[in-house]
This record gives sequence, C-alpha cells and structure tokens, in this order.
Amino acid sequence: MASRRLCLLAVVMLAVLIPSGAAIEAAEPAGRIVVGTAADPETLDPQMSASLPTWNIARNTFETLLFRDMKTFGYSPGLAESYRLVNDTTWQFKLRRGVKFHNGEEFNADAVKFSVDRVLNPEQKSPSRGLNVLIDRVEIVDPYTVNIITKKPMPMLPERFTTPGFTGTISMLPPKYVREKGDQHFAANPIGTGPYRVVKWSKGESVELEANKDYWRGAPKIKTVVFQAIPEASTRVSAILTGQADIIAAVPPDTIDTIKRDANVRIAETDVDGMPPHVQINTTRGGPLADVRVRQALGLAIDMDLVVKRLLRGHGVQRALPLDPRAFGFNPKLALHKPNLDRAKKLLGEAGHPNGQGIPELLFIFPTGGRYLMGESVAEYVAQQFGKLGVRVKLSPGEYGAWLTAMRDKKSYDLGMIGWGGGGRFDVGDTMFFQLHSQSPFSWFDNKEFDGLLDRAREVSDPEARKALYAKAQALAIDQAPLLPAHQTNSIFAVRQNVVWNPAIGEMILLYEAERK
Amino acid sequence: MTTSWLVRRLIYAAITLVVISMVVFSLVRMTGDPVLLFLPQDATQADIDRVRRQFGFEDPLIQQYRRFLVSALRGDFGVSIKFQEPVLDVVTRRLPATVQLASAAMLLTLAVALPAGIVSALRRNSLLDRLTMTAVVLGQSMPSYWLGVMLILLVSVQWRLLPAFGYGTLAHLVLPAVTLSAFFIARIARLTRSGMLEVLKSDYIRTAEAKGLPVTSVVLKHALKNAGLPIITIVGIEFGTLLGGTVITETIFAWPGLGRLAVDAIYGRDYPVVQTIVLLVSAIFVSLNLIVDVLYRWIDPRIELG
Repeated sequence: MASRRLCLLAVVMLAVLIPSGAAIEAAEPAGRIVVGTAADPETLDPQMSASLPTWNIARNTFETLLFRDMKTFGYSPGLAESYRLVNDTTWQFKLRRGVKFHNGEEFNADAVKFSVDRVLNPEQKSPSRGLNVLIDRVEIVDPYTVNIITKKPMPMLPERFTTPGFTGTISMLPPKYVREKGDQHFAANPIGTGPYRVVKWSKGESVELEANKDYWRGAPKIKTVVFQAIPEASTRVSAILTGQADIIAAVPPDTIDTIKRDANVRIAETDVDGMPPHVQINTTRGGPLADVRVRQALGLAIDMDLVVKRLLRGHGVQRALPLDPRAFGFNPKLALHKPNLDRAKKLLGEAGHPNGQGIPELLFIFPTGGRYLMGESVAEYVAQQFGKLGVRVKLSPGEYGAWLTAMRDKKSYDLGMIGWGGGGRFDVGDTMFFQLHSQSPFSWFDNKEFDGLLDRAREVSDPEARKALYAKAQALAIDQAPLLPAHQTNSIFAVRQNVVWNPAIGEMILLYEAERK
Repeated sequence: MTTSWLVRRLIYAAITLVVISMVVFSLVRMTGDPVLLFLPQDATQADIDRVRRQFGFEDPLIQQYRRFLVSALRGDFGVSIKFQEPVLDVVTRRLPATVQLASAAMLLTLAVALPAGIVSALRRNSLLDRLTMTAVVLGQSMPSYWLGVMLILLVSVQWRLLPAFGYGTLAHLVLPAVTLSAFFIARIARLTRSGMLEVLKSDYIRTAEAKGLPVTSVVLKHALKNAGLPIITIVGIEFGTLLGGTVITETIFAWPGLGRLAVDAIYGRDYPVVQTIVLLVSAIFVSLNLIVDVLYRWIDPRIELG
C-alpha cells in the first residue's frame, strides 16, 4: 500500500517536471544593464554566504537541480530533468545532459556529489549546512543519475535544490575547478552553469557579469550586467533618475511619487513572496501575556488593513498569518482578521485586566534602518493602538546586531518584530518552524500541540498528509494568537522605461530574460 | 632638535596606539556577538557554537587581546569575519579610494580657503569680506549628508552635469570632494583670516609697508609666512580627520573606500576589520601630529616642545 502510494507520487512528480523545449535561437547578446542594489557582496561563492548581495549574483550565475516554476510556484526541471522518490529516504535525480560550466567543465553526477558533499562538510563552514544535516550521502548511479540518501524522510529536500541563493539551497559547482583553484580563488572568480558569468569584481563597488553565449537554455539578450552597490537610498533613486542605473532595488515608498513624475522611469513591484514582518507576543514568560484572551484582545486592537493602506501606501497586503498564500501548504480557509476595539476591551476585562490594569508596560523590540518596509511606523502604530486598551508599550528600536541578539533572547522582551520570507522559502511549514516552533531560537511560543504537528509534517512524504498537518498548525496559530495580525510587504523596484524586466518573486533579480527596447 | 626628544615622542606615539588598540578591542566586543550576524538568520545553535569556537570568541578577553596584539606586532591583523580573507588585504584594497578622496578634498580646501582667508583679511569688513564669511559659516553649518544629497539632486539629477555616484574618473571625484571639503574650507578660511589679521597689525608689516614693498610681497612673504604656523598644524591634523571622516560622504556617493568599509564592519561586528581600520587611522593621526611637531621646530627653532 505504502509503496503503491510512493509510485503514484513519483508519477505525479514526473508529470510536474515536463522537459522544457529546445533552446530558442537568439540574436547575439548586446547592450548593458546596471542594477543598483543596497549593498555589495562579501563573497561570490553561493555556498558560503547567507546574504542578499551574494545571492543577487548567484541567481544569475549559478543553478540548481530544480527551478522555481513562476506560474505555479512549485518546482520545474533545472539541471535535473526529473526526480523521483525511490523509497522514504532515497531521492533519485536524472541529470540534464550537455550542460557545461562557464570554464567548459561538464556538469554531471560528479558535480552533484561534489556540491552536496561540500555543503555537508563541517570543515567547509557553509551557512547552508544546518538546513541539510538530514542528508546522509550522494550515490552516483551513472554519470547522469544520482541518488541522494537522507537519514530520515526529508520532504523538504526538493526545496533545498531549488533557486540558488537562499540559505540552505545547494547550488551546483564545478568540482575540478574548485579543487584545482581552491576556495579563495573560487570566492572571487566563481564558475557556474548560469546564463551569466562573472568577469570583474571591483570589491566594495560593483560586479560585472557577461552573457554566457553557450547557455543551455539559449544565450541571454543582454551582453553586460553590472550590479552596483549604492548604499544610500536617495542616491539610488538619483541613479535611476539620471539613467546611471537601469534597475534599482529597495525603493523607499516615500520616494515613489518623485520617481513616478519622471516619464522615463516606472515602478515595478511584486507581492509574491514579499517580506511578512510580524509582531510576536512572548507567551513563554508567564504573566498576562500567557493568557490567550489577553493576546486575542491585543490582536483585535490592530487594523492591518489600515496599516497597509496608510503606512505602506498600498505597497503590501493584509494576511491572516505571516505566510505567502502561494507557498506549499497554505491554508486557504484562514479568514482575514477584523479589528474590534470593543470586543478587545471586553476580552481584557474578562481576563481580569479592565483598562489594561495589572498589565506591566510591554517592552517592544524592532529593527531600525528600514530593514522592514515602514517597520518603525508599524511599531509606533501598534503601541498607539495598545494605548487605547490601556496597555502601555515601551518602544525599543534596535540596530541590526542588537535587534538580532534580542530576538534570540526569550526572556527579556514582550513584543518583537521579525520577518521570515522574501528569499524563496516556499513551504509554510519551513517558515512556521522559525516563527513558532519552540525549538526555533527566535520563537516566543511554546505549544506542544503546535510543535507536534510540525514535527510530524517534517517526516511525512505524502504531500496531502503534510498539507493537512500544516492546515491544523495554522488554525492553531490563529486560535492561540501568539502573533499579531499579519501583513506582507511588496518588493519595490524602479526600472527605466527602455528596459524590459519585472520582478518575479520577492527580492530576486533574475536577468536571464531581461532585454532593452 | 635632539634625538632624545624624537625618541621620546616616538615612545609616546607607540603608547598611544597600544591604549587605542585596547579601547577599540574591548569596545567592539561590548556591542554584541558577530557570530549571529555572520550566520544566516535561521542558523542552528550548533552552527553558532561551532563558529564561536572557530573564531576563539569563547576564550577570556585578555587571552583574545594578547593573541591579537602578538599577531598584530608581526604584521598579521587576522582574518575578516565577513570577507574570510586577511584583514590587511581587505583594508589596503579600500585605502587608495579614501586617500584619493581625502587628498582631493585637501587640495580643494587649500585652493579655496587660503585665498578666501587672505582676501577677507585684507579687505576687512568690506562687502567681499562679509560675503566670504557668510559663505564660510554656511559651509561649516551644512551637514555633509545634507549637502551631498542636495548636490546630487541639483548637479546630477537637475542639471545632468556630473554623475550622481561612483568611482574612477575625475568627474566622479568632484561632488564627493566638494561635500567632504565644505566644512574644512570654512574652518581653514576663518583660521587664515584671523591669523592674517593678527599679523597684519604687527610692527614689521608696517615697516615693510613703509619701506614701499609691493603688496603681494608684503602679504605672501612677510604676513602669510608668519600666519602660516597654526594653519600648518590644522591642515596636518585635519588631513587625518579627513581620512577618518569620509564615512558619510563615501556612503552617500557609493565611494568604495575605507569609511564605508568601517561602517559596514561596525554594523556586521567584523571585529578584526574595525580594529585594524581604527588602528590604521590612529597611526596616521599620530604620525601627522608628530610630523607637525617636527615641522614646527624646524620652521621656528624658538619653539620648545616637551
């Protein structure tokens, strides 16, 4: 019975992976596009970074076994033509033939084994290792077939082989080149299979990419792409207005009107996989916040629709939970939150805290420096609304390092703002683990039933069974109210009118299909 | 200028640097843990503990400091946590851009401030003097983050005359150099003016004038040479300040220099990089002070220095 279900599953998976057509004959790549981003990369080795600037480059120069399907947001074939689950702990990938790395080295089973082993090797210190410890080993079946064997069932495995540049993802590296040249050389002179290759890295300044003419899906249309670091947001905006940049990332909402006045520039944004910064309530310290009625009352005081319309000026969406509805396992039955100040006051009274009596001043930690779109304003709004219930809030803005340390401290704060998303994490269980599982260093929620649901889902291979467990976990998270009502912020870019490009998912800047008018 | 005096000064300089290194070493460590920032937000506790051990952050602070000092004396400043390469490589790669910017700003300062100060002093209380001094006060009170952004909006976005940011050509250098020098131009112009006014009142200038010497000779040879001493001091020390003070200008103009590296390193708790930059800038500062002292004694042997 079990094996029959597995067979069925394998067939379904194969059906999803329809091989793509032959590469389209295209004209010689030409022209140049400058992309202005907030920061410069610290390394160009996609397996050794946990930061967006590195990922921006990696997403255009490296590839993974599977790709993200931009319509269904599931998986589509990448460097692997297909994959199937042989048994609960063995995943077999059939590799694409004829793919070459930028230096001419052939992509094959050796490259897969090398790339996975490198991430798993503790000596390598890859930040992606932690999310892959369940992988036991890679077995080469033949030059174009590999078996990836896990220690326990690992339904998240395909996710780890999808979209380069996201913590935990395993990009494919050329074994001979890395072995011969060494890690340090590779970090500055990376070689992948992607549509672009790195030709020049002026550290602290820019990274120049050139079209890979032999790319297996056909050469890209643009010849040269420059990723330019412009840390100051107002300078970034000036760069797009003067045409010194063709695309800029992380556009501050208050500059959008200025940008729109220039007919040569347009705003391009996406809500897919936008960052969902949420405010979490510390339920683990006892006191009034351990009472679910108090938490529900606090949630009822917040009008997230108003936050999105006024503070974000419409550049976001209200959500029941800080999860993307297009991610695997999202519970579509969750209703959007409706604020109700009267009910909030009543609930607080029932809990023995009429007008907030007996509730100590709540300490609220949130990050500064525009880490989350209008994050500081959202925090102020929350404090103001709680005031209407008689609950006092002490705002404690923290610079990145201080904030990160505070979020891992389960004992000192009552409220905290943090976001999990925007990086291609397309499995709600994966996201909820970091948000709410008691084993997550950032979770301020400790609920055995919730932990159990996620733990079971982590070992269930059947997608439908996993979805059911995720749905229950989401309903429980609404009911227990460890988070305030949520929203998701759009990723906002500005683009010159003569450039054809649109953001697909969150912060990802994928330039393979970009062209000039 | 005795040798023992010079030796004594050198010892002082060395002591200053050691004290600074201690302060920086303990200060950066008081601000938080670099390991959390280096690892992804979703790193496991095991990962964090492992990296902490690898960097030796679990050892007592004294031991860590001793290790740092011993290697630093051997010219080894450690490995950057963020970039995973020797700190010295990271820092020296960024140094030329900053030196270029600071030098351009200094030249611009001298080219504008000295003539402005001299002319103001000569035409004291004239309209020209008042205009110059008003401009100077403006220059001194405009914060560089405001001035930089305004210059970009006006010169680059509105008039399309110069690039808004970037590094490489002379055109790229103009706006950052103007932004960086505005404050110093103001300072040095005022100093020149007051110095000149002081000197112009003295007897030997009256004598020189009475002798019928041409004005340029009086001003440049007699007055400026004597008013010049405090200016040399300030210029010397301010060059150190310029080198260390490029932080904001470099961030605004996306200039790939040391200042931006320092800010990033502080936010990222990249201890080795922060320590090395602070030490480097301190060393430059201390050396400049020393050079100024030596120059002083050389220009005016009457001056006794302790």
